[in-house]
Amino acid sequence: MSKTAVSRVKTVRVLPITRYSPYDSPALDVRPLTKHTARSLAKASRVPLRVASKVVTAARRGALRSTSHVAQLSMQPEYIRRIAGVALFDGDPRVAITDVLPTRGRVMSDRPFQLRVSIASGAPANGLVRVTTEWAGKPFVIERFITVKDFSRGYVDVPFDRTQTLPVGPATFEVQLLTDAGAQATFRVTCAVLPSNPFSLSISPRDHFVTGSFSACAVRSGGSMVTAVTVTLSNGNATAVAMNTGFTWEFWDGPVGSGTRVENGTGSFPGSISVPAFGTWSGWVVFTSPPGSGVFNKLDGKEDLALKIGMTRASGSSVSGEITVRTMFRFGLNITRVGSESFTSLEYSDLYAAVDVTRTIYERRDVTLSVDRRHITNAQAGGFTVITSESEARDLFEQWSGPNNDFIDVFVVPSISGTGFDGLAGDIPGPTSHSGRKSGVVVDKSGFVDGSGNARLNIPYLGMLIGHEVGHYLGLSHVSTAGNLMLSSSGATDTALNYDPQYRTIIRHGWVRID
Amino acid sequence: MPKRTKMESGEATRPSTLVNHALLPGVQEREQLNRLLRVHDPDGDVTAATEISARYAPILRQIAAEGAPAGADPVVRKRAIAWLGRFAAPDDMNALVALAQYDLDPNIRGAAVLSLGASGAQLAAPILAAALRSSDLVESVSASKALGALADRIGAERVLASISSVRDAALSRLAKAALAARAAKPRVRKRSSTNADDEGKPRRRAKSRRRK
Repeated sequence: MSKTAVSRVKTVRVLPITRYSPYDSPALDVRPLTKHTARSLAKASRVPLRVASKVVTAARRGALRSTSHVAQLSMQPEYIRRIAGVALFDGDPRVAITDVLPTRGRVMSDRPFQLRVSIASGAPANGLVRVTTEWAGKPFVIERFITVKDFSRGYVDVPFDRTQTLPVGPATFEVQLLTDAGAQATFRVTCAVLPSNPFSLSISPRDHFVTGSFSACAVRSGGSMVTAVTVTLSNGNATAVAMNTGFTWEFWDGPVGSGTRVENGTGSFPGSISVPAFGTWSGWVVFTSPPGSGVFNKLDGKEDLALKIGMTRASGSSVSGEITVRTMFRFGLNITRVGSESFTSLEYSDLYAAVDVTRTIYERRDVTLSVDRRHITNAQAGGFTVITSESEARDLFEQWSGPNNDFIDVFVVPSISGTGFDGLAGDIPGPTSHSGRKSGVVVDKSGFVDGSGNARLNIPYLGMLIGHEVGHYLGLSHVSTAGNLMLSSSGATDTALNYDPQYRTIIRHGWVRID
Repeated sequence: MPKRTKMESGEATRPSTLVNHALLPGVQEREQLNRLLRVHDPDGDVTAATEISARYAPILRQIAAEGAPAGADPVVRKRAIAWLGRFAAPDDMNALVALAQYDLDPNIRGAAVLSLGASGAQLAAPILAAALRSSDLVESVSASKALGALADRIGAERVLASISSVRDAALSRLAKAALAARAAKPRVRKRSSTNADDEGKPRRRAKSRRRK
């Protein structure tokens, strides 16, 4: 009789517990120009020391209030750009969040904590700091007033009281600083919330960064059902914990322990496992269930299963976690870079990280997606690299939609500019053909240059934007529900989809199928 | 349709702590503008067009100037820049010229160039032409389109006359070629994108390109 087997295991590199997501903002060395020395300015802006020295001298005379003033010092435009990227001029209306960290260096589960938000401004004003927390439950917001004094001190602490504690797992803090002068700065940081009890094992879907937990997706591959999950061990203790590399697994029909055990077995991670003090360890496990196996039969019948994985510490005590496994509806995306050579290697990886964000958004509502990576060269794309009208976007659909693989065409263009939109879906719902002026969606790649001068894409925003436009193509209209993906002006944290009518609408589109 | 056991989960919640926004009218105004500037689709822009007026110009200039230090949303910045070109008051034009020349981000420089072109200001022509020389695709294509838009507003001859006033023959030739190319409309035909497996790795370019 066929049986489910562990077909692949792998240890995963984990990030520091206070910068736990690859999408987090880097700490910035931004300060008022008058607080820079020539050396610090040269280092932060990557301009020659003699140039930085000239700028700092002029700033101390009070002569620099904008880039135009710096230009009067006769220097290359590139130097002016770099200096403006790390220094705030006297009276500069811009504000900056330079870092966000938990004041005690970590966030422990079910315990109050506070975040220290480091801030800078060239023209301090009263305002507020807002922290939106994405975690396993519904996002919530903490705001507090700030004053000019806070700017002088350089930071503000945001407390999370005993009613706002968090469970073990990743939590993302989207921090905004807004002043009454109309200035705004944003910063994003993710912390691994560590167990206070003090050790835990959790399971999450593989291949994308997950805040909170939701179902793991079982997919058909070569006739079998394949289930891939990430196992994370979290250590809230001040000493490292050595683990045995072996693990046990059980698939249950119904709740673990009180339902029916469908299949079970064992596996082993490579190498040795030591979970660092106040740290985490992660590994992937892939299960392959051939036709005839108990797990295959259940999933093929569209039944949900519970998966339990257990491990033991070298000292002998055991730890385990659970997740629901299910098959999902699926659609495909032709992710087409328009003007492919203009995408840097960093932007290329950012784009597919953004597509992973899109996948996460839909998998939270039990719909998954496949991706075909495609491109149109600069020479082929011509003027389509900068879209300046709806008509031009539809020309792009008409000329470039395809191939005929029943996937939705997602054209990612370097810029949509001078228009009132940053994305467009051909129709609501979009057609199930690759012809005409309605077949496809187009999105601005959301490119920007970070403080280090790297060309990057705004990953959380782009992932949401692709999800929003694809949502239109799948039949979803705008809504006014807070936090929903289909808000007409949804932001990076507006990613929720409801069951009725949104899920029920999506699965009726002709290009959505079930595994 | 298959039956699923659990579609709506009872999510855990935590209480929010909110301050009284009425005490911060500047914050309220900024957030209202953020919403209007972030509309994704063309239908949303119709709403924005009825609500954004020149009285918002100072705050729009501020949004346009917020770059890497502020972790600014590039899409909102570009939208603010487009509005400044529609108002085209002297302060707005000065802000656009500064952005077109000195912003760190070529996407923003490109947006500023497009906005200057849409404003119809003849004096902007040399700045648009200079951006044609950029090695950044967004900036150079934006410059080409901006020159076209400006020529549509004031006529190609006036655009070229303004550019020739800076006495850079090569720049004039570049601008003339860009305007000529715009006149030749591309033939509409069905083409097919290429699967990524068929191409080499994307080129490495860690740092932003410098305009030559």
